Amino acid sequence: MDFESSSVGLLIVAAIALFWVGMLGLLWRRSLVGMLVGLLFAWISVAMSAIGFAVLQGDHENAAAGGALVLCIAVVSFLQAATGLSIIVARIRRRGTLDADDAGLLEG
Amino acid sequence: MWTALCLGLTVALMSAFGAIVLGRNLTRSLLAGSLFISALGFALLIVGAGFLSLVVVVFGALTLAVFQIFGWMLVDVDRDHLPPTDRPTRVARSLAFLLFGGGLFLLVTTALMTGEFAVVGPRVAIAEPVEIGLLLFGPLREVTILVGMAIAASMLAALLLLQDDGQRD
Repeated sequence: MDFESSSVGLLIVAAIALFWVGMLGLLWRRSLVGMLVGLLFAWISVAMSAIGFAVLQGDHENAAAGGALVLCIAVVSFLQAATGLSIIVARIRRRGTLDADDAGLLEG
Repeated sequence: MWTALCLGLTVALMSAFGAIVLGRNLTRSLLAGSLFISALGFALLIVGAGFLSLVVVVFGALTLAVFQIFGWMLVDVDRDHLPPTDRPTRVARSLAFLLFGGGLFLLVTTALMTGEFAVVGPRVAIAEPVEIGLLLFGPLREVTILVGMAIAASMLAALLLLQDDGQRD
């Protein structure tokens, strides 16, 4: 296997490992800001996979489509951070805590 | 090149793990996150992502900067003052992580055993920004409209959530 193919393989394996780390942050951390950091890692792992598969493609059109996908992923992850932080601000104002385990308002 | 790539990805993964583990101190956690972003940008440049590595680094660094600013405003950055999680919940979460990690490991090993990563066709450089722009404003314009609507919706949601913030009684 040449360097390009094996390097992309390594990148995709690292992306899967990073997704696991992101999920660790999302499920393990109790602080809502920490959960958002974990979610950011999960988004970046998806962008890494998209870059890897875009590099693997042989033609310009598919590589450009991969680039467009990475741009969309980057914008949407930034938007989820902005909206998530606004929700955290509103929650701190009303409940005075960052604790995610305390957020059971929608429980039946 | 191979050693540099392995080093970059190892530093990136270790920093990401550190950012999660060092979570009770927000500044330390975000510092590890910044290290992760820079190591990842380095690794992506080696792989040949070109312009896209810049996109990932800029958006990742911007997001971490927003977390840092909100962290300074909202919480005690040295310690989050949350009570420790009770034992049964910790055990259940650990089992869930192990199962999830095991599933991902099986997925990777199966993928590597049954196939191999190979560049399809002749190797070309990753797309230039102009090509991506032509694609986004050409055949993929519906996606661009959807992203624009997502930007407008999330900004509106953020404004509505923050509308009373800063008012004095």
